[in-house]
Amino acid sequence: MKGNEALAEAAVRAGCKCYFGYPITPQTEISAYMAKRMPRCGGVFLQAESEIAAVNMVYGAAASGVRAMTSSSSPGISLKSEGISYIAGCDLPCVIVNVQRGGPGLGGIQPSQSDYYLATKAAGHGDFFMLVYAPSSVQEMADLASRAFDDADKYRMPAMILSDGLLGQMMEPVSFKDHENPPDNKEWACVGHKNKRPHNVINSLYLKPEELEASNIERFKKYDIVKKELHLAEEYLTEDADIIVTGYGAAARIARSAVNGARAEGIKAGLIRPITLWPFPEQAYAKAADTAKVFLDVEFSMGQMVDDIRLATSCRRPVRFFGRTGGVIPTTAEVLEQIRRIAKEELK
Amino acid sequence: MIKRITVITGHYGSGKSTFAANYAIAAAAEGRKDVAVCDMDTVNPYFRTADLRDIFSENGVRLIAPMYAGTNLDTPILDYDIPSLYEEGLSMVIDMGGDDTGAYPLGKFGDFLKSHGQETDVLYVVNFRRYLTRDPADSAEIMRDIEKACGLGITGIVNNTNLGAETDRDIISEGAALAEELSRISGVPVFCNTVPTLCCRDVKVDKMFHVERLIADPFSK
Repeated sequence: MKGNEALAEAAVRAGCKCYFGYPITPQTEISAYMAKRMPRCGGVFLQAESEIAAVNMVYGAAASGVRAMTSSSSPGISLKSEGISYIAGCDLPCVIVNVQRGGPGLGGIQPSQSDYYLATKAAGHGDFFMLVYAPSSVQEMADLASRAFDDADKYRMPAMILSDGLLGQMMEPVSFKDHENPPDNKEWACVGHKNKRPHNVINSLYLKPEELEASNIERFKKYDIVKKELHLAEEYLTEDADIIVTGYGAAARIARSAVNGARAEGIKAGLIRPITLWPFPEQAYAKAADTAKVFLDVEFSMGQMVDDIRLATSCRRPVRFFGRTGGVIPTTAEVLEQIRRIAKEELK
Repeated sequence: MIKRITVITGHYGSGKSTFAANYAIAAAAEGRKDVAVCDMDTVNPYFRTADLRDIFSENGVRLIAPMYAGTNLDTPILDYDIPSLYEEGLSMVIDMGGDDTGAYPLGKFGDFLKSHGQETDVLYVVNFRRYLTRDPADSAEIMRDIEKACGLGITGIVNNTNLGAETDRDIISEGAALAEELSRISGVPVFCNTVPTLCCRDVKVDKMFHVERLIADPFSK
C-alpha cells in the first residue's frame, strides 16, 4: 500500500468515524481513500470547503466523543492552527495528519521535514502541546495512526502524525493488527442525555484570568504525566557508538543505511530514532551522551531538532547537523561522508 | 508486437508508469526506432513518467510530456495531441493517471482512437496485492469505471501483481490465477503477466513480461 492509504485504513480500523479534509499534494490519497472507505463502514467522509472548515468539523465531532481525523500538508496545517489550538483548549482528542512538503510559503510538493517546530512547539496560539508521532515506514504509518487515536483518547489531547511526502507516497507491504473497539465511555462528551445528568460543557473561553490560568496549570500537570509515560525511540547500535547519528521519519532510514556503511568501515556509529517528537525521548539521548562523543542530526530541514538534542543531552556533547531542504532528499553517501569527516576531525 | 497506440490505464499505484516505461524500452530494445512514451497523467504530479527522462534517452525512447511537467507551471494540461503524433509515425505508449479520474483526458481523442481500433491496445494494469483491488470483482468494477470515463473498451489485462521486494513465486502464480478470474468475469483477455527482475528473475509464468524497477529506493542509494 501507499503510506497515505495505510494510514487511512489504520484510522478506520482504530474506530475513526469522521474524516474531514481538503485536498493538497502530497496527502490527497488519504482523502481519496476515506471517500471510498468511510461510506462502507458507516462513517462520515466530508470534503470541507477549506482546511479551516475541516479542522473545525473535527472540533465538533470530537466534542461529541467520536473518533475524528483530518489530514493536510504543510501550508494546510498552518491554516488549521487556530482550530488545533481550540481543540487543545477544550481538551479534546483527535488526530491530525501532516504529510510534510517543502516550505515556507507555498513552497513545493516534494518531501520535507520543515514543520518540526510547528508540530512540537508552535501548533497554534496559547500554552499547549500535541502528541507528535514520527512514522518511518509504511507499516509505522499504520501502527502509529492506530496508536495516536488510543493515546489521544487516553490523555484527552490532539495528536499529530508528522509524516512527509516520501512516506505518504511510497509503497511498501503492510499488515494490520487487530484493534480493540474504542471505549465508549467518554463521560465528558456533549451528547443528548434527556436532562438525566448535568450539562457537559466543551469550551475554551475563560474571561476570568484566574480560571484560564487554573485550566492551563491543570493541563500542564497532565503534560507532566504524558512526558513520564510516553517517550518512544528506537536505538540501533548505540551501546558502543562514538558517533550517534539521529533523525526521525524518512531521514532516519537514510541515517540507518549510513550507520551501516560507517560500521563496515570500522567507524563506531549508532542511531537514535525518535518515534515520539512530543514528548521528545530525552532519556535515550541522555543515556547515549554518557558514552558517545558526538551527535550528528540528519533532517530534511535546516536543523529544527538540533536544540532538542542539545537540551536532552544538557549540551554535554557537540551536536553536528546535516540536512537538505526544499524537497531535496539527502543521500546515504552524503550522510556517510559527514560521519567520516566527524570521525576524522573529532574522534582522536 | 507493440501497436501504433498502446493506452495504459489502471488503479492508482498499480504500476502503470513502471509498466509503460518497461514496455516502451523493451520495444526499443527490439530495434524499434519510433517508440514514444506519452505522459498523460493529469492527476498526480508525484512519480510521473516525465521523471524518467534520462532513462528514456539512454534507451532510445522518445518522451512526450507537457512542456511544464515538473515545473512551477505543472498544471493538468496537455500541450500535445495524439493524432499529430500518429501522423509523425510514432508508436505511442500512453501513460494515463489513476482510476477513472485519470482516464478522462483520453475521451478528448475518443473518436480518433475508435477509428484506429485495429492499431490500438487499451490495457488495464492490476496488482492484486493492492488493498482496494484484492479480488477480481473489485478490479472489474474499477475497470468498468475506467471504460466509462474514457469511452473506450479495455482490450487486455496486464497482471502486475507484486509486493515490492518481497514478491516471490507464490505471489506471482496467485496473481496469474486471479488475472484469469478477472478475464473470465470481464471477457477481456490477459495481455501479459509481469515478473519483477529485482527478486523473481528465475520465476516462469505464461505470457511473461519482465519488469525492471526504474525508480531507486532513496534509503539504499
